[in-house]
Amino acid sequence: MLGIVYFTLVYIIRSGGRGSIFLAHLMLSLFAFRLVSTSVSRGARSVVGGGKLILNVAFPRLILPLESVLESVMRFLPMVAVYAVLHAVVGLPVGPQLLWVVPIIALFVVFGAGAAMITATSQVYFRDLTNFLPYFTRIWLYTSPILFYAEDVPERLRPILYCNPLFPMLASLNDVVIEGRTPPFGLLAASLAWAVGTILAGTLFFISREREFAIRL
Amino acid sequence: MRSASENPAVTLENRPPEANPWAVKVEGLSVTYRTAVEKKPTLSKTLIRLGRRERVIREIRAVREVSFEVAHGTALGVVGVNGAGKSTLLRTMAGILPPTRGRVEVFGRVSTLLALGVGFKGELTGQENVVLGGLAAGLSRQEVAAKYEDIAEFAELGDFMEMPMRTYSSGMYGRLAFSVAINMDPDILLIDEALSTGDARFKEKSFEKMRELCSEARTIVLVSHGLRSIRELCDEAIWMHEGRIAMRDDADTVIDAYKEFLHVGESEVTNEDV
Repeated sequence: MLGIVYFTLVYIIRSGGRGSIFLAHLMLSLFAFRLVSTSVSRGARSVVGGGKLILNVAFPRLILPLESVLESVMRFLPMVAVYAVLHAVVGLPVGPQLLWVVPIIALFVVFGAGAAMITATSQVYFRDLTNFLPYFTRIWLYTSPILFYAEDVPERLRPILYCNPLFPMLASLNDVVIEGRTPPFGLLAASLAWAVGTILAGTLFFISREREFAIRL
Repeated sequence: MRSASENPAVTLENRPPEANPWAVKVEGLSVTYRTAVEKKPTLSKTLIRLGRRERVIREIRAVREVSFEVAHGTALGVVGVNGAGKSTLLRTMAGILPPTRGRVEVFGRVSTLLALGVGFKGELTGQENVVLGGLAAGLSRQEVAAKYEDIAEFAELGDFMEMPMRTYSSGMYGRLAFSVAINMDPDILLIDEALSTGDARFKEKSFEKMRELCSEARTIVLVSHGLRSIRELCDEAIWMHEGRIAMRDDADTVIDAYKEFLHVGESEVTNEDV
């Protein structure tokens, strides 16, 4: 529904857009973005929401944000089916390059898990974090290549956009699914670096703080 | 090894029961919280405080240099006034809270009953929650299935086992939680104020079951304000005061001294789990 709203708005604003192909790009990017954003928002509530359990049962706390990510993945799967229908209707290319979707989506999930661990831990210390998250997510959405194509971004702005972890991931996904080509090595390497860096940072941050959870909750 | 604190000298271990004469060994244990004064710390308040250069971290020394051992087959009672550090001690023994200093060694499978029905999902039936509790305790589905009849029979909830737990009274919640905890084949059962629910008959039955566990060389650590529970069930007791062990002896001696300290006599109020 949100995709159709954005499509209508952007289609009106953009004169001479590629119409149905842009709709496919928009839907694909929005679905992938929501996979990450729901992981982050659900993850933020996971530890504080599990307060009673944490106070009374000894178990690996890491399960809590990871469960949120798993739930986001389960919610993402039906969207894949919706997109597949649109992909076929629009007549976008189908070929072996689509196999790249699996590792690219895996990078989204890994990145989402890392980000969920960071927000889950931060929420214990700052309980108003979830109040700020919707605003942050909205800004993140507008600065990601969802309402525009990554290649439309002027070259001089690209280094700045690479600071957005989702920029290389969404651009890679768009290359594979919409354009039907293997993504450039630079985009894949940046996506991998963001995903691995975030999961490592998230895990270390979570593990270093999890022993305090029972005291802080 | 179940977990370790930042200090390499501080470990919380879980070894097979036959490896040591002790079920639980606590050495020089201190637990100090550094916590914000406000109940719900927020980013906005933190920024305001930083601007004013205020520091509102409070240090609470909940447990101070506590050392004791519990032999296999012992029922150890823990008494003390509110805020004495009893629950913190139990949670540290269960591996929930990290020790600040010292060492806790636990030899055997631990089952905890720190708050009734925690982890149960209200929308699931009693039967489904038994499976959930069993899996959370580390049992396989087959093991939980094998124990299910015993758990249901002990809880005496009849057809309610097939109903969502949100329809249960607190007493029924407590019955099922207790039944799950004692049927997990624990070597060490840690209980915190969990006997206050349930009717008199179920309470009596719970006592019987715990005596049976002790006779099988299982270990029980029971925190309770119900002094009769401690007196009837425990061989030994610890009296905690301001985070320290004020006294350790047989249960009767400790309870008598504790009552004298409290200036209370034998009455229903002091004896009952309330």
